[in-house]
Amino acid sequence: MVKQVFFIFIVCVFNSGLVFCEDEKIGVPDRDDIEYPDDDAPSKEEVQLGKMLYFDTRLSLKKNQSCATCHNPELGFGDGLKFSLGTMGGKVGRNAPHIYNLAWNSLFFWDGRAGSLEEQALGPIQAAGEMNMPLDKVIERLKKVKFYRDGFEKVYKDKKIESKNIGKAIAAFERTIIVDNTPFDKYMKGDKDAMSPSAVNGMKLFKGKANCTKCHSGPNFTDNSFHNIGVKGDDIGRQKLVKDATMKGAFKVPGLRNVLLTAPYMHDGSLSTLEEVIKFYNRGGDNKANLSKEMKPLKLTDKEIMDLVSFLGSLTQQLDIKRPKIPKDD
Amino acid sequence: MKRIINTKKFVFFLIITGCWFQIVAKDVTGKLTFTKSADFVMLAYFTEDHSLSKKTVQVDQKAKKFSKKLVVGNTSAEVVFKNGDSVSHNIFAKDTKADVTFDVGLMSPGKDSKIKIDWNKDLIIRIGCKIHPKMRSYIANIDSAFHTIVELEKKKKEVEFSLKDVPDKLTKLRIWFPKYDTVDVEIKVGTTSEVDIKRNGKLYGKILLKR
Repeated sequence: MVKQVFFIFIVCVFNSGLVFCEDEKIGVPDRDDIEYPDDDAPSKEEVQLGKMLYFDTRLSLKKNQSCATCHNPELGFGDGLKFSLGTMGGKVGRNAPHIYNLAWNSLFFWDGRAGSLEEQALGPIQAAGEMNMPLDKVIERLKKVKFYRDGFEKVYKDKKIESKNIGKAIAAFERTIIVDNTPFDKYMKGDKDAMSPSAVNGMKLFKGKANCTKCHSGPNFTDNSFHNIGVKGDDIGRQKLVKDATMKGAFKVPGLRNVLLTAPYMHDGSLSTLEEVIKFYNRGGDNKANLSKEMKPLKLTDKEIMDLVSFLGSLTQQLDIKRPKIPKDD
Repeated sequence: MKRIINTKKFVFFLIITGCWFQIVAKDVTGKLTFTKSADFVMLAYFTEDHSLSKKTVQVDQKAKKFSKKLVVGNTSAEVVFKNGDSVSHNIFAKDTKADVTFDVGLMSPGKDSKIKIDWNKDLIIRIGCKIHPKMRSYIANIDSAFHTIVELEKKKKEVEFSLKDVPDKLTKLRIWFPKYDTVDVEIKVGTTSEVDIKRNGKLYGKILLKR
């Protein structure tokens, strides 16, 4: 009888463990899972058009900034700054987030205020503190360029250079920024030499003691959720959009692919290295007010912190994004 | 004596097969064929029926997903939300089309909460989680006992479904998808029908119905 009860207990524990582990999955992204608008992957022409717009400084009022200024491919699609600079020279309120693997994302910006990549792409162009460029002026400028007149006509049936199509083209390009062949991906596909022993141990900690997969789960290492992780400051974050006490100071969980290249970290760029980031989590955050229930001190040793950094390094893949030659006005 | 037994067996056989044919005749079968990726879920129901009486409907949350992609209940039914997950959730609805707004607040693991279905009949609302915006499910206010819910998978482009034992007098079938246009189709006993799955006038698939 005692044996039977013990057996049932073990089965229950084992099964509950499986359920628990279900949301802790990390893995390789599946390109078939990308949800394209209207289910169609963009054409090469649309991606090319979007890439040109992405790198074109015509999109900022003073013609001194493009999307690539703050989301620079050579700087991990960030800008290496704590706070980016806008076209007028002032500082932007939050750190520039990277744009890797946004093809799988659902909400955009640190506070999730854009519901699509198309919407997001138009936001910084118009924002006074960023590119400060009304969309009708963008259109005016683009109409003067043969490349854009021909490009929009070829890609879009309505043949128009209009804001909707500018957003679509930039989003089409951004969806091609995909990191899915890192040492971690190779390891997951069976190449057990692709990651160092330290990184493998870091992966175990990432899923276990360090509690990272509570939020940084899935193939892009984000569950797209919003949490207040205890960064100091008075930015209310998600609460500006979702009027709920739990959302005060909550920000979107960023994906971690190529995280090594995207320093500085956090929505305010307050942490410079991955070591600092892990130490921040190790002490359970700095500001305990309205802290997410998933945050708690981790009691990681220095060796374990090093292993976690090694693991995060294994999520790195350099992408070769060649800058296009920007066309001149006619 | 032997002949009597055989006759009895034969009568029994007739009864059984008769019943079987009757059941088959009352089934409505359907096949969805999506030209691109499949939708999230499908609800099909006969709109003339009003015999559904559900007092409680349950929706759980596990692995940052709702346990069901769609649940149905009629007006005044109670929807019980459970959190069987290892993380906190916050279920809400902000369906402007249906004019339905609610927020059950933060639910720690193990907690539950409930709401009442108080929106108009035949309206299907979307629910989500404030913390995990990728989570979604739907609650339909319908009173038809003759309905079926088919949970779809993006990569499975062909899916069959059936509505069992439908009375002959019910002929008006409504088929609802989150992403595509709702289809209203009349299907009488002994007929077949093929209808399009569309959105914004664009074709995304076909539904073949047999009765």
